[in-house]
Amino acid sequence: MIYESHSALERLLRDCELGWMIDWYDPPDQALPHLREALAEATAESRRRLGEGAPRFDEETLAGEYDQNPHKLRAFLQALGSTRSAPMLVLVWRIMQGATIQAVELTYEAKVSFRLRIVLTSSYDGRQDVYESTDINDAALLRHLGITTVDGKPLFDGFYPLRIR
Amino acid sequence: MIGGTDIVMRTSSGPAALDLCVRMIRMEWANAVFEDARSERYVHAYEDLSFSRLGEIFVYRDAEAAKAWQELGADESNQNTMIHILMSDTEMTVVVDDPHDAAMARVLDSIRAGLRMDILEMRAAA
Repeated sequence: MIYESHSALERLLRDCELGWMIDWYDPPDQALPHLREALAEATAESRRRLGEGAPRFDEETLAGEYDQNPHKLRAFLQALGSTRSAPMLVLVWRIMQGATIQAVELTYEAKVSFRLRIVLTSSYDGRQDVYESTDINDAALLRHLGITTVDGKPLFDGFYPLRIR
Repeated sequence: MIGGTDIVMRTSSGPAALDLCVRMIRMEWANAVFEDARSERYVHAYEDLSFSRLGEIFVYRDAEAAKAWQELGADESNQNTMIHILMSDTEMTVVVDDPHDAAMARVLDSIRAGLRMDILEMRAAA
């Protein structure tokens, strides 16, 4: 049996104070395979939307991002703890890489429906991409958005980690 | 020669605050070019910036402005085409030529508003 306690993914999660994503999973030894599957799905979704040069979410990429931008990787792994939606993980990564949050639509009716629709605009070619969810758990992602004003006008910008300590 | 005005803003958010500052500048300068002040390495794309290693950064309006600064330095013709940012554990210093210039004033207001975002300072329960 391969003991995975020293895998890159586990190290990243524990360094980012997200060890609970492993320890609270039932059973805990299935947490990492489950998370890797979610990351693989996100990579496939990224490639489907953005082509061959799309971001990959393998452990090597995540470790590299942690080295260069720990605040971004922490935010991304927190999102991984909140959502199982591959499109939402791609959305998060693209916001962190500089895409503009062009529009957000949220509709909700108690015990009836939830719908979140976010439009991103590429800062390079102006291309727009739509991300949608009907899973209310994905509303947790909105907590990470930077909320501010520019020139007195409203702006969602950036995807930031929740600070645990 | 042009001179700089230091604007000091308190923040304990480190790389995330610097990231936010750069993002706000990109709102004004969509084609901004970056220079790590310590390594003198130029970075042409925001997503290639390594905020964990940046203690001091020059943000140029665009590649043309970066080239002009390389060639002429603090010449009058380069006024308000570069913003210098320095980070410490407790504050960020933003240096601009003329904080009353309309574009610089917008950038500074955006940074100040951004640094007040609760996501940067608020702690979640452990």
